[in-house]
Amino acid sequence: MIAQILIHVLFGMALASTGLYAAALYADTDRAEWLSTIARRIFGALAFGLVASAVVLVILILQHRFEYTYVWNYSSRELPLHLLIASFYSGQEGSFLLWTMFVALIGVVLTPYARRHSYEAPVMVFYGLIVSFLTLLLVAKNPFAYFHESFAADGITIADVRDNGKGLNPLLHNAWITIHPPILFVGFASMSVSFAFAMAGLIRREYHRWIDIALPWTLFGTAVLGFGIMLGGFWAYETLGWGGFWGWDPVENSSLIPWLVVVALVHTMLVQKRTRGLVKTNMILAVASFVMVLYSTFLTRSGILGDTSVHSFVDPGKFAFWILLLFMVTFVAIGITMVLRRRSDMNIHREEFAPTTREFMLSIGSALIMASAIFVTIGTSWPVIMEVLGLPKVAVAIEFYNRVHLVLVPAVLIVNALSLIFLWRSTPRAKMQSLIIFGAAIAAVATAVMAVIGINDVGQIVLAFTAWFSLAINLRVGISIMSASPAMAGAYISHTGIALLIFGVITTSSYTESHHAVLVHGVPTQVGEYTLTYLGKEQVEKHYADREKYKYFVRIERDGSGETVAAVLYWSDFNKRQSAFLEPGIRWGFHNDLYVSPKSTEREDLFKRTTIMRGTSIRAPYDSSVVIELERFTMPMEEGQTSDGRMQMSAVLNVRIGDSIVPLKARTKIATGASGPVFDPEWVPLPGSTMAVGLAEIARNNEDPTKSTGDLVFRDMSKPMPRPREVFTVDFSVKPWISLVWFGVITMVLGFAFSIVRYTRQVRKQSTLVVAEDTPLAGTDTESVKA
Amino acid sequence: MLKRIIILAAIVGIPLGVWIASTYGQLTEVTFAVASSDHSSGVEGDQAPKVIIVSTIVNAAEAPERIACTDHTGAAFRVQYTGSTPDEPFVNGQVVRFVGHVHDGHDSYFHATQVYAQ
Repeated sequence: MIAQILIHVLFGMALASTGLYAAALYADTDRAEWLSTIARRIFGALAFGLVASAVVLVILILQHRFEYTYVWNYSSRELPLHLLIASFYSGQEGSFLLWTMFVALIGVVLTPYARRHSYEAPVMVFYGLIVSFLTLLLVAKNPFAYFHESFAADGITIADVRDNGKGLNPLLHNAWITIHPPILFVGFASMSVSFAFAMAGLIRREYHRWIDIALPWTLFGTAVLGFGIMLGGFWAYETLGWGGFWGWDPVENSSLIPWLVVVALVHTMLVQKRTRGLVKTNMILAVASFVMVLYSTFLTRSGILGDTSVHSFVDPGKFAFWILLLFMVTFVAIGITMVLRRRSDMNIHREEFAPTTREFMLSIGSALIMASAIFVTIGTSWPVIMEVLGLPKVAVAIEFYNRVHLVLVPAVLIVNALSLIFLWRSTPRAKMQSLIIFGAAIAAVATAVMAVIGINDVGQIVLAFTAWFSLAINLRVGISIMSASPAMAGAYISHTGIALLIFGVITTSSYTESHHAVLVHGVPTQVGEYTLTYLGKEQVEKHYADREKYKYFVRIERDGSGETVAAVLYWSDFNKRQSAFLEPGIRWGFHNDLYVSPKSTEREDLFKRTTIMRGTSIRAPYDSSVVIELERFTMPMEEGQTSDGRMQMSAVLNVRIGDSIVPLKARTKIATGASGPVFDPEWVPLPGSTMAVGLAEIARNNEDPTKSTGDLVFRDMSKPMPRPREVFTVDFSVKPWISLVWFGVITMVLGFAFSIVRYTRQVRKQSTLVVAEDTPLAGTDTESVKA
Repeated sequence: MLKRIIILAAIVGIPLGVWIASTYGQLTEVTFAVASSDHSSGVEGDQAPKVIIVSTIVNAAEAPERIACTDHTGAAFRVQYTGSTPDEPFVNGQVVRFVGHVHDGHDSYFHATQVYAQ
């Protein structure tokens, strides 16, 4: 009860802090300082309260307090410690709490930073409003709601405390859940900072200064969100068995869209920092980057996408739906109103960029990245658009995203290289030409080599050429910059990372060899250039009552050497055993990964099998002169149960051999298995031969029982009964250079880290100087000189 | 020039993007037999492609868990509907468009998550 009340109190504190900061904006200096001090303290207490709420929720989960709905819904006694902790943010309520907590903690660091730059009140009034909405969401989706309150309508009383929880979705039973969501939410939380600074800049009519102050934060958000997205891709690849690292699922896209917008913002901020242009663009992009976080959250959390995503979405209830909508609409309205109110002021330094300048290319690059963000938004929103039009809700096919980006990505890579070749303000023609020829020559040779090796798709060739062009220019320019000043190498490192990422995408999409393989236990099977042997299975995680989870060991050999990987396939009560849970077995390698994706497991079919429908006849597979007619199937009640409790059914057969007809009853025992009924046929000798017949399966036609079918199996009784072996069906892939995808993203994030350090130092230096708002920025253009 | 390029690109690009999305974001109307045959080669864990089946409700007595339907070829199949509650209850003889996918197995059925009036 106290925790529930605490959430309401925290909402009140968020409102109070925001209100006091708003009052400070319009108060005289002394009073403003006093108001800000109180607001700051309340905000600090709010952050402490949110951390305390999170800690309390974790403790409740660790103590298995199933009287709380959230604890019951997302945890269970069987979960190990790290998954119990992860249960904290595995549901809607907990993830909102985690997001709010990170926003508040970043706010605690942001407050003194903004204060140092005399931006505290104007920044924190918007930042506080964001926290207010987030805490309001927590009021609507309170993680401390009691079980008996949540299910009161179902007659549940306070005495009906469950002994165990529903547990965590088996898909989330992985170490990555402890890292990926928190990093992603730190990224989401830090998107609020650029927005708050942009709004503060508008209030203060300081259209340039906010750029310097907000740039390190914007870079931080970009790096963290980018890293979080990569971890999600790695998780999907390594554990979820999706076969790839990116599936263009709405939840994946919901992180990608704000990231793309903020990447565009970083580049336009750099342009404004140097040229004082793109003032309105930066304001709009700062608003857009935050609003897209809200829009993506709305799309994925409101339940509006329905069943168009592989991720599970839960309808959060009408109250939370409207808060999410109001949250988004409010900040769109604030952003648009503020920008429109100051639009005439912001046109002071309007200038045209010459096409052969860095600022022009960076602007075009940002526009292209924004185009990507817009296309991904259109694709992700497609189910909603269709619903608004009254048409069936459907997600766009993955090909939509691939096709669009096959045009956009090469364009971005070319523009990236040109932006490094060109200098700020103007570029000497000779230098420009020599660098372009250098990059184009390397790209042409390298692409030709790749074409000889096997790339024959035009789109992939264009992509490869542009990636090589970008890589060559980045390395050439980057190395010279790095030798002079390592701190300035951030952009070049990041862009090199992007080129590596693109190479990883090209090689995996062009050269991945995939084979569908049916592996019989103990039998080496040639699959492509490798020999695969299914060695057997081992049950793991036996303490979970909802599943029988097995590791399936597969030996992969080539040229005398080999390794064993373990793929996982199991069914769980969690999803009512409607579909299997799969985890691939991977042999990691620098130049390729060997990827065994499990598909199904069954017993080897040892006998000749024929399907027969009631009232029809078949010819026996061992002797075509023998005709077998199916008269009918008997019902379980007619046959009675076996001594071990199994049902029995029979196929009533008439076997015609020459002129004689012999009636037979082929019986089968039926047990309930994990994935449906399991049939155990009894063998009935067929007259005049050593063969026997059994009933191996019945497919009942519920609409028309006369059309029900059965599978008859035949075996030679003169031979010993063969032992059925287990068959493990897999998709086996050799993924060349997929490591480049991971190295590429890590390199890109590393580049951001360099830039964060560089611009943080720069802001520190500048904060000691008084820079007049309408005079050119201090400092020489060292980067352009060196480039 | 920059502004003009970007405005022009937006004017051309955004409708183009919507048009491209529309070509990749459409469901096809099929029969139950076609929906069943599209089911991807019996791979466990993979979901069959989402399709529309124009269905005549034959028996709605056990709706929404079990709705007996026929498609336009007259083939009988079962629908399990788990979408939002329709405005009007299902009635026998009603023709609707079910959106969903086939669940294959011993007793295959159509798992519908959306329903629209014909």
